[in-house]
Amino acid sequence: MREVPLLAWRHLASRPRQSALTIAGVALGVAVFVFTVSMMDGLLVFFTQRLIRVSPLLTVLPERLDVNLAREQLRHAAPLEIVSISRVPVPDDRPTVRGATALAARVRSVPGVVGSSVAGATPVVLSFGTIAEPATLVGLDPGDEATVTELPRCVVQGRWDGLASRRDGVVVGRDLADRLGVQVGDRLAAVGDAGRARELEVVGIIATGLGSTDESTAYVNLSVAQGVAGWGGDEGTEIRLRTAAVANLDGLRRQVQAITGHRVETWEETSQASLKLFRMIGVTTYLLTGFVLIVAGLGIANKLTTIILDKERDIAILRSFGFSRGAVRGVFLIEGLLLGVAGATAGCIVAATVIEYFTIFPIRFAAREGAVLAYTELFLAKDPRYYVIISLAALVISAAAALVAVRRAVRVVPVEVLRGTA
Amino acid sequence: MARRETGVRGSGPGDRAVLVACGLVRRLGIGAAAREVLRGVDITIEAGEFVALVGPSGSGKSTLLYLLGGLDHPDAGSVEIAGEDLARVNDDALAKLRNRLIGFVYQFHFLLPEFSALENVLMPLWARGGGRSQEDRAWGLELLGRVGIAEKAGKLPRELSGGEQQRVAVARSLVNRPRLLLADEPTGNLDSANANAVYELFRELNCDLGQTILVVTHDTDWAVRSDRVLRLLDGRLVGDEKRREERA
Repeated sequence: MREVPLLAWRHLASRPRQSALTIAGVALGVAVFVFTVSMMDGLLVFFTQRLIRVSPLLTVLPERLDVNLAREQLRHAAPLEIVSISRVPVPDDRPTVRGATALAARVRSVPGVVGSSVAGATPVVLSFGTIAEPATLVGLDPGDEATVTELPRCVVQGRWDGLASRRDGVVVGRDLADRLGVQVGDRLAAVGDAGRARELEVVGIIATGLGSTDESTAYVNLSVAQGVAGWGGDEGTEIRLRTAAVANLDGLRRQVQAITGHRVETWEETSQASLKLFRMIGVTTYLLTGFVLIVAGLGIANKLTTIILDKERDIAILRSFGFSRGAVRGVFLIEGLLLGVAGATAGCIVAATVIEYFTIFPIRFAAREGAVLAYTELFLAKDPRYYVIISLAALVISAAAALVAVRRAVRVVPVEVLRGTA
Repeated sequence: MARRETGVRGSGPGDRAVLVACGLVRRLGIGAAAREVLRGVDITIEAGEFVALVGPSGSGKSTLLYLLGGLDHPDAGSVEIAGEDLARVNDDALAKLRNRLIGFVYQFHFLLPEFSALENVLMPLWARGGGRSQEDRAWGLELLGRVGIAEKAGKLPRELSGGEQQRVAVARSLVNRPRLLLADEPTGNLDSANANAVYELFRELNCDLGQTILVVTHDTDWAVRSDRVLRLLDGRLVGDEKRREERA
């Protein structure tokens, strides 16, 4: 029936204030939801960008797959079965990659790998004057590292190249440097867990934006870390790789594993815990924000119920003229959808305006000590899909709310209403 | 406006019936409060008749009208309008049947306040998917002209007087060219001048268009001026008085 939308529209237009309030409720729900998703995605994007900037995309780990294979073979062998195992290195307690330099060079030639660097991380205590702080000493080749991560660009005081020019140079994480009270040019002592000590000169302060790095990491030449940890000259705790692609690294990972015989992790696996945490926070936030939309839906149901109660007599009259139950249902469903569409549209406009405003005039706040991420500026992600998905959700909620309310309209029995009115 | 032939089913006088109701029984209320409002009512109304249904309050007039108009279902008995048995159709089909065969006028005008007089008149046509064509609009305007308020076609109900609102309701009841016009105390809410005007309008419709009309009324004057008066008392038809010769 072509006039059904007209009936719906006139009902809404005859109560402009009520309709506007209901639309405002939906608009608020949509706007808050879009803004929250934009904020949460922005945070995740920000974190991911920082992560990709300063972390290797693939990491060759000390864990040897051939040892694992032999272990698996032995575990699954039948009683008294003879298992042939050959060329299996004897595992020891040294969590390092042996022959790391040669492996890094081999891996560098794999198509898709654009840079490699051997790194060795070992726990130390850094001392400056009377202050001592636990830290992770990461040894690396400063030149090779520049082909893998953007760490050199994160140096905020001094120079990354200082590591190349000074064999005892150290680049200290900004928060760690703050706690130690060191500046470029200061000399501090590093003591490894086996008691090996080394005096170092601060050649740079680095700020990556990632709490784990800035809070407790100091970068030195690989040979320095090897010396403090007591490793051999060709050992490292990982081989760090930069790949041309950022995503879909599984094929390349398998290829590198086959070449090195070591387990290889993608950056997503390495940071799985943090990424999961961010996603979980995101989901929780979406659920909480989703309630705003549901409340808006209740607003629609309430508004329609009010209209229906008020319009029972009109519904009875329409039914007496020959309007079917379906047509009556259609009137109120369309009303619900009109409110939903108007609310979603207004909400999207508000959200887009607010997001644009805070992009131009960003909110800045102080970094919190000990935070996982040095997040000092509200970073809002922009994606048209937010608007489409959230608007659709608002429409579904509006339609559901209308369906709930419309049951009463459909149940109106004309004669009962007319008898009551007479 | 030319006179239309309504309700004619065949050539014989018995085939001219627009409405045939047999043994109508209707109980209202539940449990101990239940009471029989109609106790076996038989009515036949022929095409072109102008019938008044009178009776004291609580005699079951309105209940009978709702049953005859297919708005309510009898507990026993049957209603046929223009040969269509109302009991044999489902709810939506009954709605279509009401739209096609019956026009209603109530004591209160029951106009939809958000729509103009013309839109209110055209509303029954909307129910059947019409009402948009120039022809339909012209017909709606013609009806408004017939009831004397064509110049107020664009006004909202609140901009019309009580009498004018009831006239719009009458025009609305005719827009589908119903076989039977049922009116429930159509002047009960009007002053005597407007009540008389509505009566004259009904009479005109009956004379000029041959419209079959059944009016429930308390108005004795209206009853006196009808062609036929049905008297209802305690749910039974106790009188059927033909006051004028059936018009040709």
